[in-house]
Amino acid sequence: MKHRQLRIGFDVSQTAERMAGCGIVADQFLRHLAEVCPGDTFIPYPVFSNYRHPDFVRATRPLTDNIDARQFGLSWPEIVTPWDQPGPDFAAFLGTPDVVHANNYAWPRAVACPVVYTVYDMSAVEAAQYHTEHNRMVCVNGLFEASLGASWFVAISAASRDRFLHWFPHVPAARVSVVPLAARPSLTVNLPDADVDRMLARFGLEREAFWLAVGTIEPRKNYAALLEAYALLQQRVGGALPPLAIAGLKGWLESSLEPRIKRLGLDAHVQCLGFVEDIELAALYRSCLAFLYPSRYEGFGLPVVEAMACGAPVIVSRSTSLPEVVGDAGWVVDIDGISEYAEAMYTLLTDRGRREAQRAAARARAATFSWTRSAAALRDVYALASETA
Amino acid sequence: MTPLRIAIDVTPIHPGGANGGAKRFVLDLIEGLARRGPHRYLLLTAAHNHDELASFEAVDVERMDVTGRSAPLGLPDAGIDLLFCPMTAPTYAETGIPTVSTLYDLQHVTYPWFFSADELAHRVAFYRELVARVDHVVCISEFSRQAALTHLSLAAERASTVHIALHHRLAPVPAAAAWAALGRHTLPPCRFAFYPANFWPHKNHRLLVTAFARFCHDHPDVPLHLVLTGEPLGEAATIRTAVERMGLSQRVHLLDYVPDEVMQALWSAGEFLVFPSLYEGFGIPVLEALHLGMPVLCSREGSLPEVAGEDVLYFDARDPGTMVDAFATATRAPDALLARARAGQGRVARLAPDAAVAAYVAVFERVAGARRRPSLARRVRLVMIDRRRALAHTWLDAGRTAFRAGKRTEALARVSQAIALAPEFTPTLIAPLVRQARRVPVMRAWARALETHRWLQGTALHLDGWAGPVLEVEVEIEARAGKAVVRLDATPPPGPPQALTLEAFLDGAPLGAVTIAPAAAIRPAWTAPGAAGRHRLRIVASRFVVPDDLLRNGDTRPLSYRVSAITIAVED
Repeated sequence: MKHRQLRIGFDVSQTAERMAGCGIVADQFLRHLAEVCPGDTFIPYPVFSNYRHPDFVRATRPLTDNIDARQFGLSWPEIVTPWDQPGPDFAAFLGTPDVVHANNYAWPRAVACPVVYTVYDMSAVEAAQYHTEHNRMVCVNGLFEASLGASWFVAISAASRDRFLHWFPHVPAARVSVVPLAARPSLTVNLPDADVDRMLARFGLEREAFWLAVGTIEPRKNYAALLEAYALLQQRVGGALPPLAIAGLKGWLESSLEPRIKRLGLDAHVQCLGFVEDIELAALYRSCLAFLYPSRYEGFGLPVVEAMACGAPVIVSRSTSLPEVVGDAGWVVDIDGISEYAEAMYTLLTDRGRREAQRAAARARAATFSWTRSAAALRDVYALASETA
Repeated sequence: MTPLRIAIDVTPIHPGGANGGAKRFVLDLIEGLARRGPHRYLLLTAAHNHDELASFEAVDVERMDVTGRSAPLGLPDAGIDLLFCPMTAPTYAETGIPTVSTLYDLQHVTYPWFFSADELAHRVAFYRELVARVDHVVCISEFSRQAALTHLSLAAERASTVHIALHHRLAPVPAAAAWAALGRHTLPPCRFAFYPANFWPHKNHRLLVTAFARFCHDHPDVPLHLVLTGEPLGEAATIRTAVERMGLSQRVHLLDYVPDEVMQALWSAGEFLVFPSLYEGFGIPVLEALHLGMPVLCSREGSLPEVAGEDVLYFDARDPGTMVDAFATATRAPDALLARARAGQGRVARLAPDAAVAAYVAVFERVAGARRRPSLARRVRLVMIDRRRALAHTWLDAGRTAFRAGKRTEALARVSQAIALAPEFTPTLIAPLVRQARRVPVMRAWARALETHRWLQGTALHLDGWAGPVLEVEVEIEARAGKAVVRLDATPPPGPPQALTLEAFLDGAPLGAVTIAPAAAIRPAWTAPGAAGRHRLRIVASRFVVPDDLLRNGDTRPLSYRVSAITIAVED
């Protein structure tokens, strides 16, 4: 598509802190947009609607010529007050954009130009148990208001698009574009084997001798089922089963995991690695027996595509977006199918040929996802949205 | 027992529907109390409702308009034995009068983000003061009572539960009459689900409409409508837009606040009540529906299971999928739901109609009969501040009036008197006067004096609640025994969160320093030797912010925190 040049306001409010979920997506989208669209101007908003981080100056700000970083020089009241009391000069405060991309669930009521709204997932509406009440309401209100006001929607998976349209059937399906995520460049580095071994040694792990799970430890990630499956597999193969390594911060709801590990007698087999750096994660993905992702609800499943990009065989649950991300390049098992899970693990553990085939298939599948292509797709969305005014 | 004379504070009751369901409950209760005897009641009214409440004269209840008056009203001298505050606020509580309040809910504890920082600080202080000033709290549900015991540290014996009872129940009207009334209110004949609720965030209108839209989409053959009534507030506009965008303008009807006859018609013609609230202290409409034998689809939150029992169809208020299912069940098998509603009707019909009134009377008699132990007297007043401020405001208002009338010399005199009494007047209060004064030659000197006045020194508690780095207030402790616990409840100044250290002194003696972490609530407490009498409390803060530096709003006062409350509890 040939486009006129656009001024695109871009919400990076969630990139100011240690990034997870929405923050990673906004960060990657903007970095790749800045590269892919040299003719346009992007105005990053480090504070957006009600999402305000005191350290907003640390938000994503690519250093290319097409970034208009005017908001990064503002004082706290200068950047916050216009959102609270938008005056006649609010559009000027935003840098007179042709279109604004909202990325943090909040609906920016005050913005007058066309708004593109990212739909991550609908868990706030249909899986409230995975949210704190405050977060649930912020997301529900944002989604509800966006369904009434946004010019265009970007869903990060077909599953998210379908669930969004299920709950908001008044939104024209043609205005919801699926723009998938991809592995972050920081995870696709090519590491020498010696470096990989050194990093694994730090965790007390060895190549092809551990299972890997990643993510904040919270009920949505369904680690309970994973532990049950692991225990089942252990019964089958005996004490020689390689350990299960779980990388990630403790989440806000799970306190049942440790007692469960004890109850299943897995103390010596389960290793919580805590927070790991991206480069360590790349090493872990690359050398695990399999990457296990039994999640109950996802918008996309970024760790899965990243694990596949590193060549990890993956076993995921048949929930929301995961089947469309994995395709036929991994095992997709029932959410509560503990024996099915154990069976897949057994196959990968005992059949080295199968494992190698899986690694190649995973790499090929991951290559079909690309931030560059997704950024180009976003640019098309902006053009369409800017014409809806 | 000798009949008591009981004052009932109804000043918070407003015309129309702004009080939600509480208004009807309170008016019903008062009438029930009056009819029951033997006690005599005096309504403390305000100009906005004095006339509306005239009908209570029929049941021999007197009224006294207390507009513009503040406590103490001198209730003991007027022969009053007890003060009852059915709208919670113990505005007219005074020494020597036992006080009973009705507590509805503690929504701000569960949903603090529904409130602005100011409202929240006000509520926190309000309930803390409530516990300090009333003898007994009557809660409208056990759910609310448990919340009060947990979150207000209220002793169990100072709180009881009396469910709301409806005396003036709506009489159903025949279908033809109902539809005639509804037709006049633009509602076409239809099968409809009914949700009467002011458009407050906890009433969950958004998910209800989302679920209803989905239901209509899935069941195009079921001609169910949805009728919403209630004070529209800001939210109704959003819901109206949603209904339009969702293509439901013919199916969802927003009637706003409707007159009684229309309400009666809605209750009579509706197929079922849908009640998706996220938080309830009681849930009067559910009880209403049970009385009428109307089926109910109901959320499980707050007090609702307590009221609805086994006689309704429950769904999860946070899961619109379960709402869609409930709509489907209710429309597919209306008879089963109706049978359940009949069982509910039978259950509530067996409740003694006067039980709630009797329970209130029992509380009044018990509280009036018990002598207050001196050590329970938690009464502490910021004596100087309150009196001085009230007077200063009077002078300031007089000054403004005089200024507007062009009597500049008088204005100058009045405002000067105000400032002499309350040097902490804020720029926002006096800035308009200063601006006007600058334009008048004889008043320029006065304007300059105002601008450079003493509030800049920051030793006072400003009228808008802000405190500077050194806060000095005078407090009075009435109780004799025990030790005093000084509690400060405050919100931080604007700008990024930072740590704050607060050091307190009572009559110059240090009580210790407390450090508050960044972003933590400012709620330090200090223990002091308790002694009756007046004391000077001084609190020194480690940092302050000048709002003008951050906000360019002309407010150049050095501010450390905004006080919601300073309380001194005397403990044994």
